[in-house]
Amino acid sequence: MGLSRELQEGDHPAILVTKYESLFNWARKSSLWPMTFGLACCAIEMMSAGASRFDMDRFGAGIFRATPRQADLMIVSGSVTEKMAPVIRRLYDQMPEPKWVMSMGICSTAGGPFPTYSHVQGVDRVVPVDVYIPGCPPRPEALFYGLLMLQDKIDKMKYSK
Amino acid sequence: MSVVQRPELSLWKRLFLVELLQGMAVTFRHWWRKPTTEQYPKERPKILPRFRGIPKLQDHPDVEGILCIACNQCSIICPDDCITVLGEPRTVGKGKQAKVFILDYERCCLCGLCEEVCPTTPVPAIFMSHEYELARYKRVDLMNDMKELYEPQPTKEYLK
Amino acid sequence: MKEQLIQYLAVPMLQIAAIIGVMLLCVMYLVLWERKLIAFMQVRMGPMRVGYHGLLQPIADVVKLLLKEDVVPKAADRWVHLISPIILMIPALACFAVIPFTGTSFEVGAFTIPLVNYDVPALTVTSWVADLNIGLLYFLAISSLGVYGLVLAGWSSNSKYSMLGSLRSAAQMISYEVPLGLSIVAILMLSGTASLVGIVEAQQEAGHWWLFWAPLGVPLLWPQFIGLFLYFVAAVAETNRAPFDLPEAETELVAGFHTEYSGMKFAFMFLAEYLNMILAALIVSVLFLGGWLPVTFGIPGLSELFGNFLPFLGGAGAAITGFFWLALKVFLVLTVYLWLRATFPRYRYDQLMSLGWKWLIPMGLAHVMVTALFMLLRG
Repeated sequence: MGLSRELQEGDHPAILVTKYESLFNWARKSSLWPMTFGLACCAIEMMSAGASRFDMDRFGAGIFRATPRQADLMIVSGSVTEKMAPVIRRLYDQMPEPKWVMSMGICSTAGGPFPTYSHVQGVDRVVPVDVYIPGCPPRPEALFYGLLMLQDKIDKMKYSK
Repeated sequence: MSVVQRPELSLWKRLFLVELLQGMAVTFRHWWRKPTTEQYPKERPKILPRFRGIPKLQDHPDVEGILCIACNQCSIICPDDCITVLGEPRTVGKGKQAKVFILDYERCCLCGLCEEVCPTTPVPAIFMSHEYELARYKRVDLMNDMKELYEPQPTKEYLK
Repeated sequence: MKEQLIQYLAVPMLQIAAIIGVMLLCVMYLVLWERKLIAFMQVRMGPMRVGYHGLLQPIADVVKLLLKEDVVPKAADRWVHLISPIILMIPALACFAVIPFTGTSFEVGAFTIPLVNYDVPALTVTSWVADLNIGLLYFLAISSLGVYGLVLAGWSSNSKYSMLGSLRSAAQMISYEVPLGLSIVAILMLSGTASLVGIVEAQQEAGHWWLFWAPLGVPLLWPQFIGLFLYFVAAVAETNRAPFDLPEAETELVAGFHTEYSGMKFAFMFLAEYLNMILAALIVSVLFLGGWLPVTFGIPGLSELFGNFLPFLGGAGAAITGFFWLALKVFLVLTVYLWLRATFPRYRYDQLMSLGWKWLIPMGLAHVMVTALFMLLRG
């Protein structure tokens, strides 16, 4: 069939697939349910981002799910210790695909002010990170900026080659 | 430690669930209040003058050439060791000036100590800007050299 | 033969399809209304960016949940894990069969379906799929089957949290079934029938909602307020909603019985919970608030005025008006549901049990006695 040939050729994006692709991407980026999960002081800022003044629910990302099975987004908020790293990896593995990770704050991005034996120097050594948001802690607006960048990234996801 | 003694509820209050209804009245009143939400990509927060955003470099028209004198004090006081400065002889006049200035935003904790110790006059060469929108897809992109530090952050405007 | 086949097979099938479709849409927008209402009560905005004021948010949520990976834990019992959301879902949907959505039936004249030239005889279409004379018992029996879904979901996940959540839900739902039943007994005595259509018709005959049943002619003595209160509290506990959401208590049990469920299966459980909420609100409206009767029913002069908005449509106009009034009542009851969730903290487990067994059941028994006494005095 013509459609499948177009799919195989690769440089012609098939119309049907792109339509579905944009719908799927729109749905995925519009309902990023984060996991109820905080490691340190950045988590306090994350809570404030979910509360009345900043309201993460406006982006559709307001339903914090306590179980990793129902979450799409993991916000690593705070310093990752060597003891905590395997737990984070396990939580990440328990999340169903498609899943995304945001690293919030300098501690999880690069170890921050703790270049010590007990701290993981960047959470990207444990789980793949999509967006890094530095700051100590980042303002809720900075977190939303990262969320919007992540939505951009999801919007550019391709299923057809 | 003090023990809070709650008064025993009267029979009338217990029978007609007065306290529960009071609680519901509170939420009902809040329902009609104007939301306090700041709609971020459309509305911006009001930044106060002493707000410490991400650190940047600046020059001053009274001083010829680069304002930074490469004294290395910021790099010494930095609790995260995120500043690297290399100096060279000043192109105009005596002394040194910065040749390489690397600021690693992935470690910077926005404490503002570098701005405090900076000895240059009339303004500190390194200062805390009022920018806060900083997020990258890669860690490498958070490493900033001197040229990038003079310019504002390349942020994308999400206006929709 | 052909007439009967169409009347008893094709029409109910279409009704079932319509009810399922409309109810799923209602559930989606109930979730949005919940998020919006709780946001307003917390001085927030709620979903704003997906569609105009978040109107497309439920669609995005559903599509995303459909596309999520379906995780089945290695230690789980695969088949039970698969069927328990379905076991939860089927009773919730089956209960809608006996709900009368509006009183008047439509008369559809004979017509021919074009293209296939199929002659359809004249039909009478009612707003309920079946008018059982044991409608209320059917509702009680079927809705209590849902607890099997919860228990099996918790057991098959092979996780501590799920197991604890499902055990809690089993105990809770069985405890609150009793006050739920007791609160309904008074209504059965008043209307003298267990058919839901019959109950609304009895209210029509009596000239007031059962909520405003004033025995001995005293205007402010309305014993059915206790009945409504009992039914409502028991229904909140029965549907596992806050403040009785112990089976899925986030602070203690991660997500309770659906801890190990993801994607589509989780969406089914979510759907069943909200369907049960809508069902409870419908039953409240039918039993106490006069079903499809207008809000002004019982006030002389006004009940006829609001009985039919679209008089030029005849019977269909009255049917649409009845549907509108029922929808309005259900919406208000659901808003109170969500209002409770926005206000109260979760009950402790022993408090929940003592409320159910030590307060609601004696209250329910007393309520039945008092109603019977008043009926006797009235003669």
